[in-house]
Amino acid sequence: MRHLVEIAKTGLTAILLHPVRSSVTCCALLAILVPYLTGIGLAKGIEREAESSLRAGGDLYVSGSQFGRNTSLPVTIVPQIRELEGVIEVKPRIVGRLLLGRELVEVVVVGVPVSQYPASISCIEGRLPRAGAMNEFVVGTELARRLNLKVGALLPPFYRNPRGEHVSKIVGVFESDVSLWQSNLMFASFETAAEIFNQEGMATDLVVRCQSGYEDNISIAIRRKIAVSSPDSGNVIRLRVTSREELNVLLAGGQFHREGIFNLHFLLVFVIGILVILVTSGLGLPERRREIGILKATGWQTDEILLRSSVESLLLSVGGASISILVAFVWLKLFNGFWIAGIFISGVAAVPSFPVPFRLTPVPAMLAFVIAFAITMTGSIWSSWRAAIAPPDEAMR
Amino acid sequence: MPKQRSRLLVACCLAVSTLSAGGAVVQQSIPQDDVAARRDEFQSLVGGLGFGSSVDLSECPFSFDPRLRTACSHMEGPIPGGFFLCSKHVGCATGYPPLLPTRNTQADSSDHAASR
Repeated sequence: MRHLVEIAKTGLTAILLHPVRSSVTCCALLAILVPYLTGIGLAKGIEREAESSLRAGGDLYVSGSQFGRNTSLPVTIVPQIRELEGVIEVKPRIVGRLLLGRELVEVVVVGVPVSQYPASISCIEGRLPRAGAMNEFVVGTELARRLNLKVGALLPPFYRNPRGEHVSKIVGVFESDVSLWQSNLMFASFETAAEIFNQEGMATDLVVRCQSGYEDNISIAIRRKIAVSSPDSGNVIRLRVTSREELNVLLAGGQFHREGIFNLHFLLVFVIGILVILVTSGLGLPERRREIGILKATGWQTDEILLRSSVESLLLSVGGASISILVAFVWLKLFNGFWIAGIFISGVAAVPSFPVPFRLTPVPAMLAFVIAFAITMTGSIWSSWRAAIAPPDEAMR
Repeated sequence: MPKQRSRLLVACCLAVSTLSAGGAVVQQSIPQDDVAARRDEFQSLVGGLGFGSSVDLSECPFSFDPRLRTACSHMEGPIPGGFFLCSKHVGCATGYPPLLPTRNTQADSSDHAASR
């Protein structure tokens, strides 16, 4: 046993004997593992935010459908849904897209009735909008940065409405760490959002909260009992009800869908990594072959040489994977995903204005170690074995 | 002796990097209750908004939130298989399939309303 431990220690010496080779191997592992870990970390972080979106949102989402596409709904159906057994609350909501400013900055406008605001809130610097003559908004951090908006700032009319346009006031800015989806948000009262889009009496969807166990019955009742038609044309609007359960299934299914594409992409990168280490380990390193020849000539057996090579690969993979995890962590935490967040999250600048959501879980970290070991071992064990089984004089030539 | 010192140095570096990596992963597992509470507060305020790896509604609202649009608009054309060419969710950190269409029972409610 002591003999094996002594041979294993020579694996550490082998790293020092070829510092360039060891550095190149580590760099190759970093190049492969760091993008993988940052991508998986970001995906896990967004997943956690999505879970919060589902948990704290409604139990059912009612939207309209015409020609199989989402359409808005008249708010006149809100009392009908409220009367259904098991319904606690129905919140009409407007979610719309707008372009603001000279640079046509993308904005997500969300309007919710003032009467359904919480009594107190801590995720805003400022206050919530109030009903009144002036349009009041709470904006997201990216929007505030790009349009140079602060609490108290005024916006000239940026929409068209036959009843007239009003000056708007910024009354709050969302805290940057509450969600990545707040970054381009303009939050207002339901009436303000309806005025901006010139859609009085219409909502994009209804957020329904219900008592536990009543979701299916309410969903069926909404589809069967409530008839909706467009106020202008009288054409039928079909109702679509999406439950939280359906979205949870989507979230779980999306994990496999995403990671399938991700892993396929990085499988190709790993294969290339094996080839890189193959080249640095034996095919392009005659000194290593002569070194193995000398060991054979001094009495080393093939299995002892392979053990030495395995320990060397293990230590390189442990070092490479550990440094990759640290680099990914520092990149996402301290540098806030500079540049890489913009690759994995659509619509984000190179320097995000919010803390990028990420989570380095144990499974991807362990996977990084396993993959690093697989790459280094596959790249070096074959060349070591070929040199070990050759006659010593041939290996030393 | 210098060789032994170098070996010791490499071993220490490996140990420190491994322990630091482990510490970073463990730190991520520690729940941050105050941040989670404000996150839930925001989501409760807006009624549950956001799901995918897009932060705006440009080009593909589906990649922002499937509650707003149940499928990618590129599925409807003009290019066949356009779903796989949509830059808003293909190749991004998250991806999920479209929401399955539900069985439409609106015909029942229309007939029911007409018969009254």
